[in-house]
Amino acid sequence: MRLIHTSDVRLDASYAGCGLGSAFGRRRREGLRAVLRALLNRAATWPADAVLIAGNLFDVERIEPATVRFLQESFESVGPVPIFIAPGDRDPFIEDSPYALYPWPDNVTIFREADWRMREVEDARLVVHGFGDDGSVSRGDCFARLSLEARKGWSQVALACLARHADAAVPFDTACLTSLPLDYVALGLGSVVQPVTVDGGVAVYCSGAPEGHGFDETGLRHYLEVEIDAERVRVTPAVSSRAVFERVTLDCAEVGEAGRILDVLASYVSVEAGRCLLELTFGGACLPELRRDWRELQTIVESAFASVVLYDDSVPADGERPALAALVRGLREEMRNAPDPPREAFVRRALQLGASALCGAPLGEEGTDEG
Amino acid sequence: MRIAAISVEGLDGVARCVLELKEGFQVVAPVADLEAPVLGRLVAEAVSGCGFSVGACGRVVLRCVRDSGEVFNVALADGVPGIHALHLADAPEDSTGGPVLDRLGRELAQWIVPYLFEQEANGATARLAAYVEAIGPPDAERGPLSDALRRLDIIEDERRRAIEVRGAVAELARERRMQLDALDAAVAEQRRLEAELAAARLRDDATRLAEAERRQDAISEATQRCFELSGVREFPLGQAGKLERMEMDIAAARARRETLQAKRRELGERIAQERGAIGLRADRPIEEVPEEAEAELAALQAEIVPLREQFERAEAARATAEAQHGTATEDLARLPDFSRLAADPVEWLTQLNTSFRAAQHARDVELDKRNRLHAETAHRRGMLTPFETIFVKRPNLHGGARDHEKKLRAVEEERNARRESVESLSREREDLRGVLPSFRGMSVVSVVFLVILGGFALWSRNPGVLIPLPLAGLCLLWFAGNWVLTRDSLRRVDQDLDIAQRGQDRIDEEMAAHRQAVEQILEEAGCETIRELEAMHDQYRRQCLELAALDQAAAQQETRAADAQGAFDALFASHRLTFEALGTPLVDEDAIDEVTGRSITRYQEYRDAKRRLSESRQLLTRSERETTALRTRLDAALGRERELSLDVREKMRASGYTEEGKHDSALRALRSYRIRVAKARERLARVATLEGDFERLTAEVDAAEGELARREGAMSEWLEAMGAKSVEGWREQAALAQEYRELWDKRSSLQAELDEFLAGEEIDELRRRVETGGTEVLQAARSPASIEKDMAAVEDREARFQEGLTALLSDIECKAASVRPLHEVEEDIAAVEERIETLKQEARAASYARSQIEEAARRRRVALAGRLSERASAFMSHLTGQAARVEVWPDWRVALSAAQEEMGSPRVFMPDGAYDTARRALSFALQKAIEDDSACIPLVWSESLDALSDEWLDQLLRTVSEMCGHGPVLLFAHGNRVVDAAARLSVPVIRASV
Repeated sequence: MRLIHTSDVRLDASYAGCGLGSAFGRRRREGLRAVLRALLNRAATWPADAVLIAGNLFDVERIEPATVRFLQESFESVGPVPIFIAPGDRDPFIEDSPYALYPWPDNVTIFREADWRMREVEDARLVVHGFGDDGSVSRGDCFARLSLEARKGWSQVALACLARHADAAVPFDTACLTSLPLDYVALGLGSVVQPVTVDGGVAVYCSGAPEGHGFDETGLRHYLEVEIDAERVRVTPAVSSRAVFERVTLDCAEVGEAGRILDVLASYVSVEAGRCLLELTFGGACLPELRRDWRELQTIVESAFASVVLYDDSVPADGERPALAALVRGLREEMRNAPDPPREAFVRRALQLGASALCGAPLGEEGTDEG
Repeated sequence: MRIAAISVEGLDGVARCVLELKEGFQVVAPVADLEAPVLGRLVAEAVSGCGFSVGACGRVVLRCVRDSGEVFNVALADGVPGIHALHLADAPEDSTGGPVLDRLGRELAQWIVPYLFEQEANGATARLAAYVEAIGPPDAERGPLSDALRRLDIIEDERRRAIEVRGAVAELARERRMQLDALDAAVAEQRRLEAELAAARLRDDATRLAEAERRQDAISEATQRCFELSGVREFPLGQAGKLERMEMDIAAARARRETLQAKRRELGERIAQERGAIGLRADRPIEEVPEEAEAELAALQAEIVPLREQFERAEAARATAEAQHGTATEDLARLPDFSRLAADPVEWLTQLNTSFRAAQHARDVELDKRNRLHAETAHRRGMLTPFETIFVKRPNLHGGARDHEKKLRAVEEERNARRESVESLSREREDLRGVLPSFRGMSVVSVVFLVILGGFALWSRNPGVLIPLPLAGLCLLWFAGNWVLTRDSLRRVDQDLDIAQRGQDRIDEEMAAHRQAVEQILEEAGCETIRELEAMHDQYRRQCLELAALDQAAAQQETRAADAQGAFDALFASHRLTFEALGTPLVDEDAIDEVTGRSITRYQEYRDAKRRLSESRQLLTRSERETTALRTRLDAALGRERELSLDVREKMRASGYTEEGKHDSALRALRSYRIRVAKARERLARVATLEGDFERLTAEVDAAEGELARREGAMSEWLEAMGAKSVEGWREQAALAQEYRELWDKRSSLQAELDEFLAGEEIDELRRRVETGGTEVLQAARSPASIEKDMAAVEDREARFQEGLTALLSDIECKAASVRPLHEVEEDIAAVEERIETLKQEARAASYARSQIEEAARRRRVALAGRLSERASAFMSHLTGQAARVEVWPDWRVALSAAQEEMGSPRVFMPDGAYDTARRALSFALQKAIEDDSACIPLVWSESLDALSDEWLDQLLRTVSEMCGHGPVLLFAHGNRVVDAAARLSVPVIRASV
């Protein structure tokens, strides 16, 4: 028995939070489609006995008809491989959901009710119990409502998308699963691969997102390849990321001069720069020389990486100029006494601008600098 | 401080001196004889030789009295960077010391500004101000912030449109879902009808099965009976006639012979009748058609029917594909070839739209600017009209007014001068007039006295009387000469006075005329004074200049607007051509969005047509291949069937089976032929039997005639041989045998009818079909034709639903393509909002940084002023014995005050004055005050201290020595007195060898 388990694909997701504009978002959404296409190709060629999608396949608020058509064609292209979808909080089975409005291929099963429903795959002797989100109920206690009987010679899996709770890593009572004759529980919960420890030996996994959606989802992303035989369940995370979000904080002293930036970054970034979406924050004390070469530094980084968001949290160094020293002393003190982070950021930026103005460095982005 | 040796080659070898510098305060001596250039060179070498980072310090304090300008120029020329002089000498003092203190303040300010970093701060704040200005206010016409805000408004509109379109798409999707449900219902209805049709057909099959089973039962019954009678199957029925003939011969020879003859005739007729009923040519043997031919024909038939059906279906599919291909080709021909236009036409069209919008916006902005400039120009010109009547004819009014002023001033001065001259002349004339009678009287008195004296001398003849005569003559000469000179002077003064008064009158007349002209202008302008007129004229000129600038700007803006309009027109023409080529003509510029949307729709139609063309081409190719293959197979099967049919039909015709032509199928003809042959054979057998009977009867007749008697005995033997005990027994067996044969014939006939009824289908197959049909047989109430009619109606409905679904899908795609996806719009909104927030934050932060830099500079100024004030007061107190102090304000005003409040003005505590003391105190304080913030600043001090007494000189040198600390102070002594004083106080003295 071979299964492919993924969740949180979030096709047509909005990347407004990254603040990089629609061109970036368009590339990322194409990337999400490519990731799903590759995952389904893997399902067809491995071949998998079923594909389990544990929620948040798309963003129901933003999905486009073209994406629905892409999903229909992609699902249909994998042919006999059955696809099970448990809608989540981003793609609930509501009246206006594409799940309800559009026809889906015969090999696609969507668990539309907020209750456990069972589907069988005769050829593979597989039973899938799915719990959907109809946009109306909390799904935290869904496993308390699951009751099923053992079926000899059949594998049984459960599929659900759960909402993450801030105060609990696993938002349900794992004891509910100990007595159930399940072989595998496929969950959609968060964006990283996460095994859930349950007494009784049932394998419970959150697959995480197959592709990152922002700088809060950094590093490589995976889907899960699950192999179930009579003796054990083997779960293998397979890398699916096409582009990788990375968040790096550098001390200006470590950089030294603009020309060294790529050498310094090489030790921080886990993938090649061409597929790396980098959020780079500079901290520490920034010497006037580096401040003067700031635009050159930006150009070097932006030309090397797929996308770059640059934050400057550095504080100018005192230097030998009395004016600069006086400004730095005064505003550093104000930064230390700032009542909240926004005020501290504001004072830091004022300090950076003042230092740039004093040492002849460019002030802002090209074009706004001094008209 | 690094100790350094200084060697100066002064001015092409004119002077040469060597200094060995030490730490702290030291005196360089004697340098009184040094020329200023050499001293400048020394200063430069001293500063650079001391090892101070002058570049970092910025300045060197140099207090020099003598030829300071030249000293500094030489020092500067010799490469000392930033050397600066503090001239604190030669200022005139008044009783309050005001000019001196003001000058001190100005020099202090000039000197200390570099240490205030105000220049640097001003540069930075100017950059920050420019940066804030470049960002611009939110309501500015141009600028990143206002552009971003305008862009945000545009994208917000786009988002609203996207949300509306999204709602419309969802509505269309719901409608499509309902249509899909209706289509599903129609499909279910179709399936139900198909089931009903199958049931109806099953019902018919059941009916046929019942009939076939009835016939099969009859056949089975006949077969059973035949099986029961199988014992008499071989019974020689032909012996019956012989028996009868023998019986008849025996019973009644002749009657029986007649009976036999009648029977024989009857038999003959029957034979003829039977032969006629055979239907085949009896004169020829029946041609046998091999079973293999029938089997092959049946196999061919079984192959041909599905092949033909497949061929027809393939042909229909091919026709459908051809029709679709034609439709797609027509659609494609109707649409422009987007593939040659761009790799991604949607993006290309969007770019076209965006570039058009940008050009349109740029043009609108330029036109708006131009219109506003024109309106402003007209407004300004209107404002200038009242002034023009006054000032146009007097272009140089300002100069005239200035001349008027000058002239007034000059005339006034001249008038004053003349008045003073007149008054002076008048006074002189009065004085002259006053003294003239005295001179004249005294001259007369002198003459009278001389005459009296001469007369008395003549009268008395006393020569002694003539002794005062020279004195009297001299007096007469004196008084007469003065009288003449005074009278001439009076005449000259009168002439001068007359000239002066005439000149004054002339000036008054000129002034009156000039005033009249000016007053006329003032009256026209409604002004009271020349100042008002000048102000008005200045205003007029300023407005003229502004108007000229506005005209120039308007002309430039006109050019820019024309350029923008031209660029836009060119772009519009280009876009019109482009969109006309796309079949969506761009009629006016506001229709760009609609035209772009329609072009995108056309592109989607084009893409759909391309896809359909490709699909239909593939389908057509596949259908043609399939049709060809089927045609080949069908032709082969038909050819073989035709060949075999011809052979079979030939044989059937040869056997006289003429009805074969009535059958389309050779197989059916063959089966019919076989039935016919079976029947014919039956009849032939019957005929043969009858002929046998006939021959036997004849033989019997003959035998009866010949051997009647012999047969009677033989009959008994024969009956015994036949196993019959009697004639009746034999006849019973014969009857049974006859019954058997009749039943066998009947069975064959029934079998053939059954085969014909089943039309080649096996009854078991029919039974199995009926049995597997289950109970639906009973539920089918309608005829298959009625059901098929309903099915056709449902199929029509399905087709309509399919068309509706296709149209809805097209609508959905069109609507979705008419706006950008919501997430893209939201991403742009987020990016623009972040940019706006960043720009606002940047402006705020830059303003804040600016204020902080200004504040730092101000604090620095206050701190430096405070330190300077404190240290200068300390020096001052030291030098004046706690009697006075110096105050320095942040604006570099300097004040001297007494230590005691009640003292109104500072006392002079030093021989050369309080202000010189203050100057020295400030010089030393300056060095110390600046040292607090930077590296050591050397003080190079060159001042003649000759005016000081020894006591005060010692006091001064002691104070400097005590208070300068490690700060480098070089005093260039002017004479040995200072050197001696330094030696007394153990101040290091450096001997400069010159």
